[in-house]
Amino acid sequence: MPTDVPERLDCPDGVPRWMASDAADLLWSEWDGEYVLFHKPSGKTHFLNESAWVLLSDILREPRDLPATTLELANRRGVAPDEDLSAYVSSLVLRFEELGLTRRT
Amino acid sequence: MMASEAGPPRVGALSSAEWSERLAAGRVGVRMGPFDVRLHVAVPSIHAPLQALYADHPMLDGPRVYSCHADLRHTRRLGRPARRNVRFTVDGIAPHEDMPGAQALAVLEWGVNLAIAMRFHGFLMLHAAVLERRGRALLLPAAPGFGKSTLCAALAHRNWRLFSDEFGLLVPGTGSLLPVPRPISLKNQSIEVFRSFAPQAHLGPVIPNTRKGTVAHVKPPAESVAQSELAAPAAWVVFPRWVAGVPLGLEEIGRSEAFMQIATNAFNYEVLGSAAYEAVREVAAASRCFRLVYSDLQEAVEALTALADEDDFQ
Repeated sequence: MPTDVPERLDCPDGVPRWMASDAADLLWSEWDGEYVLFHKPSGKTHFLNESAWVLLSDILREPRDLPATTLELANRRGVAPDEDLSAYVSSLVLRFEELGLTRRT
Repeated sequence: MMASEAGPPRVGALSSAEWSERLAAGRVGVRMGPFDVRLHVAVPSIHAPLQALYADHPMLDGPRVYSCHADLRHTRRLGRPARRNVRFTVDGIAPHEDMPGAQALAVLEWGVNLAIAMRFHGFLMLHAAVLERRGRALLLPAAPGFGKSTLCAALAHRNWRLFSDEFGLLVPGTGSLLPVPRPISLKNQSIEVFRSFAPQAHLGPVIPNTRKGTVAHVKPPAESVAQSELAAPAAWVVFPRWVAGVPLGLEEIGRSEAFMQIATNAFNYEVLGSAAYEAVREVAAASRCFRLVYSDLQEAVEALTALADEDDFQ
C-alpha cells in the first residue's frame, strides 16, 4: 500500500493523524446510501457518500494516519488498498479538515 | 362596515372610497396567513387594483400588535405622479432604493415579500411555491425563471389550494407548512400563457419595464384565502423547470439530493441552524421527491394532479 503523505500533511513528528469531530456535533440523515450531515459548530450541511459517512462516523472515531485510514476503509469495502484509494482517502480527509469535520491529533 | 358571523370583514367588503381613504391614512390591517400587516399606501393609483387582488383577505380593525407596518408613498419631487418614484418602507426603514411610481404595485408586493423573508425567523422559509391537495402539501422549490409561479398559479386554478407562490413556511418541530396566500407574481410570457390557461382568473394591471421584466399579479382564489389557517404536512417535493419544447419529464430523485436542494433554496436555513436541518429532514423523510421538466402547462398540471391522486398515504 502506498504510504506517501502529501507534503501539506507533514507534521513535525512525521505521523499526522486525524480524528472526526465529536459525534454529538454531527447530525446524520441517510436515504438509499446517500447521506446528509449537519455540522453543528459550523452550521453547514453536507451531502456525502457512504465512504465519507464510514470515515466520519466510524473509522475516524479514533485517531488514524492516512495509511491506517486507507487500510481500514479498504477492509470495509472488501478490496485491496491501492494508490487510487489512498489518493481518494487523502483528498477526503483534507477536505474534511478544511470543513472542520476532522481535526489533527 | 360590520364583521359578519363568518369571520372578520374582507377587504372587498369596503366601498372603494372607504378602502382608499383608510389605505391613504394608514388605517388598514390585512391578515396574510400568519402575518398581520399594517398598510399605509399613499399612492392612489394602486388602491383599486390592490383592493381587487386582496378582496378576500380578512381586514384587521382595532389596536393590535402587527407583524410589520408597510408603507408606500411618492417621494417628494415635482412632476406627474406616474413619473415620480415611490419609496417602500417597513417599520420605518427603506430596505432598497426608491423605484418608479408606475411600478408601485409591484414594489409593494416585493416589499412585503422582503419583509417576510428578512424578519420572521420563527419559520424556516423555503423559496418555494406550496399548494395542497388531499390534505397534503406539494412544495415546488425553484430559482427565479424556472416556471415555479406559473405552475403554481395554474394548479391553484385546478383544484389545488394555494399556500404561496413564494414561501414555504415550515414550523420547526411540526413538519407542517403554513399557508400565506397572496397575489401570485407572473412575469413576461407567462402572463399570457396563464391568461389562456385560466381565463376566469383575475389579474391585476400589467406592469412593464420592471427589474424583473413585465409583471402581473394573479388574485389568490377565495377558497384558499378562506382556509389560510389550515396547515398541511408535506407529501411531495417537486423541482420544476420550464424548458421550451421539451416533452414532460417527471423523474423521482433521492431524498438526500432533494434535502440539499430544499436547504439551498431556503431564505434562512443558516440562521436557524440545527432547527432548520431537522425541519428539512422531516420534509424530505415524509415526501416523495421529483424533478419535473415541462413545456406544456396543462400537461404539468395533469401529471402533478395524477401524482397526488394516486398516492396512497396509508
